[in-house]
Amino acid sequence: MSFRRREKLISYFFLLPSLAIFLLLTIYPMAETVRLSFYRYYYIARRVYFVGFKNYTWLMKNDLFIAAIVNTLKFDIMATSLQFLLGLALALIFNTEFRLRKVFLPLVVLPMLIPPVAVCSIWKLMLDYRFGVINDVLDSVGLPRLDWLGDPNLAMLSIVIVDTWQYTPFVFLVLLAGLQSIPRELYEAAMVDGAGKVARFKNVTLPLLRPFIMVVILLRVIDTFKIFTKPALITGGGPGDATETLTLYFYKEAFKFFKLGIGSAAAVIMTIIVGVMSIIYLLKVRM
Amino acid sequence: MSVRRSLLEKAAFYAILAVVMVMVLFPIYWMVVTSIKTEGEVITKVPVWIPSVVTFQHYKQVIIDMDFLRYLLNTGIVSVLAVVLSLVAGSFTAYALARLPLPAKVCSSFLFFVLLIRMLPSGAFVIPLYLILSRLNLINTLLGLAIAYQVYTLPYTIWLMLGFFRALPPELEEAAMVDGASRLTILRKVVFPMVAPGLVSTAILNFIMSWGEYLYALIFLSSPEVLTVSVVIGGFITEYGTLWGELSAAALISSLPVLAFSFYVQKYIIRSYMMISK
Repeated sequence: MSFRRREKLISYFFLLPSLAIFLLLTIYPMAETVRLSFYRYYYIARRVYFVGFKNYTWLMKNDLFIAAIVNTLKFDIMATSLQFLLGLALALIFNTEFRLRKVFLPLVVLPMLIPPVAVCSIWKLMLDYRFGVINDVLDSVGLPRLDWLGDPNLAMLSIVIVDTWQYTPFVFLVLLAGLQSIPRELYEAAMVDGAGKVARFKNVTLPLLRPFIMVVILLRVIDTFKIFTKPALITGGGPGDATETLTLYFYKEAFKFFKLGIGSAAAVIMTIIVGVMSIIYLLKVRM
Repeated sequence: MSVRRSLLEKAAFYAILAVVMVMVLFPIYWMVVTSIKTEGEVITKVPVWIPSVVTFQHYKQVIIDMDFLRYLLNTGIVSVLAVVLSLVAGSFTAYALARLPLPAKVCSSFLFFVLLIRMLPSGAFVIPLYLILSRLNLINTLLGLAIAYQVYTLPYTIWLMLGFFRALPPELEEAAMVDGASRLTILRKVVFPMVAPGLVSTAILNFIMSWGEYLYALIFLSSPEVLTVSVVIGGFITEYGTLWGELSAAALISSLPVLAFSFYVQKYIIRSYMMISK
């Protein structure tokens, strides 16, 4: 066998395990999810009926599902923008030299390492109406206690705060890496040309940071869209439907009530929303 | 004049830094102190910033009465299995994509597909995955969960390792090839030793992800002897949500194995994230 042919054979052989895993765990399931979405699937009775688009029309008339779409998009936009702004500020702080920088840097990263479930338990305690330390502090400075988790107008904000606490460090890490990749000479040249701090930020930092900003925003938009653990454990989707999110809704339909057809249809709609969002975003970035 | 301004600036800078550090660290501090406070001091009206008595009662309850060590072990097994599976399958694939003579079209469409999987919501796969695993009798097993985690960890591994392989100078492999070494020998003796730091960072990232994962664990595990810490704490929060001391102790114990990576993460993971963004 010739050298080139052997090399080619080896390379396909190396691709094979991953391809097999993807085929079994993602491609086939994705196709199967689409198929299941056209059926009523009674898991316990093991009976299956073809129902066409009925699962979809049922979902579109379901108030909770519509609320879940709206909530998820609201959460996505709020959490991503907050995390981006704070992460950028933090990266700018840590891009300067100061004493204790080496000590603080690994500490800032801690929240993103803690298991999300543990994060939920800490914050549920801190946000508690009666015993929470945040309300205690509000109390002691003469402000009214807030019902962080029980007030429908505040509950989503609380989830945003918790997610922001955990994942701003991620945005921070990526943006810091971006800032550190900018050559110092560019700033010096800008300074020689008489550019002030604001001008240097606008004309040197932002353009060169742009690819990092685009990637980190895309990743956060995608990941916040999947939010499940925090609303599931901190508010349970409530009060009412205030923090019901798409993945939470999907989980309840598919694995609590075992309505696999409805769950699959919800999953398909979710996938379409993510797909459309990513494509729009990627097209916009390209331009 | 300029000295005074810079002093003021310095003061403002450190003030902001202090506020940031308090916001980042206070919740962790609060978890630690809540776990060692007595029940009475947890629920006082005026917060007890520093506990007057230290008790390990909650830890005793969590570790002995709740059998928490078993769940830690389960979580460790799942995470290590998931990490190893991904590294074995993913690093060879990444190497092939980075170095071997594959048609450019195959490479780019494969990578696009990997990225797509990273983006899609887990709900897109999970129902059929559940049906497949139950047909294979892998539902409710640690191995089954580790296999399901490949949906998350394998795309990540391929992208990260691709960056590490591409960063290696190709001359080394070429030199070894001229000396007549086979591909596999080159991989074993030249390539893998050189990407060892990359393999380690990839393993750590995937370990952290698997260690904290909740949705799949909740769906795929049900009997008590196979549960992971996330599922146990999740159940604890919803059922005994007011046992703050025990809850904080459990949360802290579950965080310790990953918190130990903190220093490593900020130092090496920055590099891996830099690679993703390219």
